[in-house]
Amino acid sequence: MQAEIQDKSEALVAKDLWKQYPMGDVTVDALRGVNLRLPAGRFVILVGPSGSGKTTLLNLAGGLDTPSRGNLAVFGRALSGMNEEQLTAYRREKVGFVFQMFNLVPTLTALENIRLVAQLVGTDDLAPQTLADVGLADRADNLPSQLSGGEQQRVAIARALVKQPDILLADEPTGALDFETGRQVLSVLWQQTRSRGMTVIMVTHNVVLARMADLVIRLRSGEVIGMEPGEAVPPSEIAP
Amino acid sequence: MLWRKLWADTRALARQAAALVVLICLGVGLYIGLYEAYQNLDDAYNWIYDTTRFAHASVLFEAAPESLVENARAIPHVRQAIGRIVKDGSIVQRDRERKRVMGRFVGIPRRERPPINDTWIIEGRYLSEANEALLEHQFAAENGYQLGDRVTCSYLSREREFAVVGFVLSPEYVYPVPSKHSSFVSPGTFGVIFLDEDRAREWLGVGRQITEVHCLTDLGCEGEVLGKLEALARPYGMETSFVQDDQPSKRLLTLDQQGFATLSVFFPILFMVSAALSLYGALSRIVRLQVTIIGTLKACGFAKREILIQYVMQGVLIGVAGAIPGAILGHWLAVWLNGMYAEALHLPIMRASIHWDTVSVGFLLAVATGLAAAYLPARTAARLPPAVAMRGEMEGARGLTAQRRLVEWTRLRAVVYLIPVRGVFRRASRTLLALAGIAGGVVIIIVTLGLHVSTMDALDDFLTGSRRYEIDLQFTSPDSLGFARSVAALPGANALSFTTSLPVRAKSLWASGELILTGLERGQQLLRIKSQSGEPIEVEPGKVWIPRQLAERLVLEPGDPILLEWVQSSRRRAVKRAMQVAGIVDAAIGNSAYGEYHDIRRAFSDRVYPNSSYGALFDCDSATSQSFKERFQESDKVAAVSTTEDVTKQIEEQFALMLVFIGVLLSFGLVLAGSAIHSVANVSILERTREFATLRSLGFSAGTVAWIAAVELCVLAALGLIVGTPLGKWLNYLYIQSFTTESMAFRPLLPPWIYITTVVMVYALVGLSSWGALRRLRAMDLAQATKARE
Ligand SMILES: Nc1ncnc2c1ncn2[C@@H]1O[C@H](COP(=O)(O)OP(=O)(O)OP(=O)(O)O)[C@@H](O)[C@H]1O
Ligand SMILES: [Mg+2]
Repeated sequence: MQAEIQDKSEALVAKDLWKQYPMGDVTVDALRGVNLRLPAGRFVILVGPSGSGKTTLLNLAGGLDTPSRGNLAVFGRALSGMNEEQLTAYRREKVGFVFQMFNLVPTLTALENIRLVAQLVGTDDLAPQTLADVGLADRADNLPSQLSGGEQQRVAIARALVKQPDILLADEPTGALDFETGRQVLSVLWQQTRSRGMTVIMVTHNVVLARMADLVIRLRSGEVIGMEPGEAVPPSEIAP
Repeated sequence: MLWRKLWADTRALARQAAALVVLICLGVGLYIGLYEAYQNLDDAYNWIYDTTRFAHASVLFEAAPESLVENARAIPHVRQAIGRIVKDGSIVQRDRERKRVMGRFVGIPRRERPPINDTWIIEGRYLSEANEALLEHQFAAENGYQLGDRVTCSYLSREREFAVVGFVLSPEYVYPVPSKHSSFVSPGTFGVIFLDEDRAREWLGVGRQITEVHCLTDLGCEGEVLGKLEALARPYGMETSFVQDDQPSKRLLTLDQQGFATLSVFFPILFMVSAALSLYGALSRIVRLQVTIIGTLKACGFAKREILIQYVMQGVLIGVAGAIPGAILGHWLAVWLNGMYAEALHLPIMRASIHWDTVSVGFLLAVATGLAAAYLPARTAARLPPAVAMRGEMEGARGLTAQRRLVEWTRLRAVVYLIPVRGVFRRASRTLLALAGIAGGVVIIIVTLGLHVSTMDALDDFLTGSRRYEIDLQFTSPDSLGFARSVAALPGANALSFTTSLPVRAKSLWASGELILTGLERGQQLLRIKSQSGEPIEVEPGKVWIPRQLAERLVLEPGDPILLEWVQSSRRRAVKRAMQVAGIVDAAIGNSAYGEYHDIRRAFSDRVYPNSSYGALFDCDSATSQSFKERFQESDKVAAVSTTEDVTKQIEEQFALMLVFIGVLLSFGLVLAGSAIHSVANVSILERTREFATLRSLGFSAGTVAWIAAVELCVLAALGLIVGTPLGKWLNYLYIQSFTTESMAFRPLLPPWIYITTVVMVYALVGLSSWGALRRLRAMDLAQATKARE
């Protein structure tokens, strides 16, 4: 493998990355030869029209799926060619996910949802503080059904943070929330990842919110069509 | 549009829908099959009873003048009455396999058909000459009689030959038993022969006397008439009396039919309940999956009612889909069962017709099951407030206290263990459903295995537990004792012990009951009767050991006084004796009390001879058994001989049907338990695809997630076992009790291995069905599943 791909100062390196979905007789090319190098510690936002391959790229980066062709490395770890066991270990140690639908375990309270993951990686003692960091210290004993959408998403962010992952992946984390709530949630995400120096890749449709990014990547039809620096404006200062 | 959605939903549910359709099909099939079989049997029996004008009320007595019939005719509500002469002796078959068997000789008029208790001629013709005979057809078939053969009848050593001109079905011997005391009679060993009454009287030497009066009465008056008949017969040594429903053959058939009827309700209900439970689970799941759609539909202006009907229709659709093949399956089952019965009872007139009433009930049952199961989820769907539904949630703020309590009660350090633990209690309805399903399966497994064990125990007890001899002898008279002793002195013979028996009525202060009183020699080792404590009993003069069923009915305990009275006792001839209860015997089969041989002879047998019987238990080397048997059969001192082998064969024949039946039930039970557990497993795993996928994406390995899912199922299975086991034990007890008759009292046994087997079976089923679900879980597309709504 090329030396450049193993460079650890780079959060993500993709070389001619392809993802194809067989659909009956035809194959859908979700990603067509993506080349990317993302520096560590940045807040990266992925934008692009629907169907352009944003989710696909994020899933590959998170080890939820494997590329059809090409190379992908995250913090020097080559993901292409990993088996299921290695992928599980990778997800456990390196990645934090934030989903559009929150995906909290419905039978566990807010704190328990965080501790579930904290215990998996051995950071149990960080759990209460992380919950406090997202501003929900007083909701620790509430079940997800007793929390609003924005609160649930903040718990989900705390769940991702408590792992102290190298990279945090968020696919339209505000997609199920109204603008104001979404902005509050992103505010938390922005501050907490920034103070921890964490790399974030977030997909969003909201062009206005893209202003918070350090780096904006544009996708279209499975190809990277642009990469430009963002304004790094704190979300709290962004007007709708 | 809404209907197209309904169709699409049902299709999406295809796999589960198919399983539900199969369940409902089995339930409906079992119900229709068993109930139609019962109705066909009932029709067949009633047809026989009607055509042959089966007596409504009868009395049997020692002997009375013919004029008694006139008195009977004068009883109000008696439409018709006849008197008959009936005597028991033996049938001698020197050139057939069974040399000598018990015979019952019934005198009937030769010139005309009897107006009551006629026979139905299966082959041949009615009597026309005095020396002709009609044979009960099962006996004839078992012993290979042909029309034109001669049959030799023997009564008190007087032999007479008759020509066989017809084989008949008699309403009194559709199931050929000599009396209500007999528990095992195979068709070949008890022959009923209908003879010209004048010739019979002359041969039996009874003059113009009669021993039975039979009446046809006005509808519903048979009980009243019977009371008057008994009063008439009492001075003549009344032996027994019965209305049609208590007639021994009819009673046994009715018991048997009741078994059918019970099962035809019991098992289908279990199937339907389980189908309903799974349907409920499946539809609840659909409703959950479609929460947003429902919200949207409501937002678009669909009314509550429309949504309710839409979901209820899904249940009804599945019900109907199961009912149609179920009806066909049921009809086949009925035809097959009736065929088996017709063959076992040699019933020539069984018709398997479709009973539309039963078919309709089966159909309604299926539709009602679908409806009932679908109603709750449908109502939930219809009642969802659109605002909540649009958020993709099921409940608003409902049940929060319960959830909070759950959180407070279950606190574990390791959070990952909380997922299966709370999963069990996540939704009360789902858990109850799962519990009911698993418990239902457990109940069926326990009840059927228990029935099997109790049956085998009864057989084993009867055949090997108490029987320590080779040959059972019935003598023609007390004078045969010397002959038996001389045979017992021959080489190969091991032991001989005399017995005597007669039917008696036992009375306590509370109640009375009939049974056989048997005298056994003191110290004999051949018949080992066990007391309730398991020790072999020892007889003593003045004391009597009574069977468990009788002790319960008469409320008697060891040491209590008991009055025993020969059943034919009359004021003119009272044969009775007050005795003391020595103890209680615990025999599953048979209805006998045991006293000391000489004591019983002196007090009863010798006084009522020839209405008592004398016999012996004879033990020899099994190699010589056959030659001893022949030796006894050739002698006219012996009325009947049966070897252990004969009895074993008889009993096995009798129970073969029952064992097949148990096998069928057990397999149905397993299917039911399996389907219940399978649907529970599927629902609890597949319903939570997103949750499990999220766990995987958080870095939990596939193994850990599988383990979480499996633990939850195992906990549910354990709870199902905890609920189902005592319930199964209790139902097993009730079920065994329902089989108890005067001559059979199965013990409700549930040895530890049954529980172990049940647990193993349940967990095997859990393993099997979760394996399938887990495999799908392992193969799931994480990227897709984390997005899935559930
Ligand atoms: N499992 C799959 N099977 C087949 N095709 C797929 C699959 N997943 C994605 N695709 C296709 O791949 C392409 C990229 O999909 P992707 O989900 O990455 O788009 P996206 O940019 O996230 O869109 P959106 O903004 O709508 O979420 C699309 O054309 C999509 O139809
Ligand atoms: Mg997407």
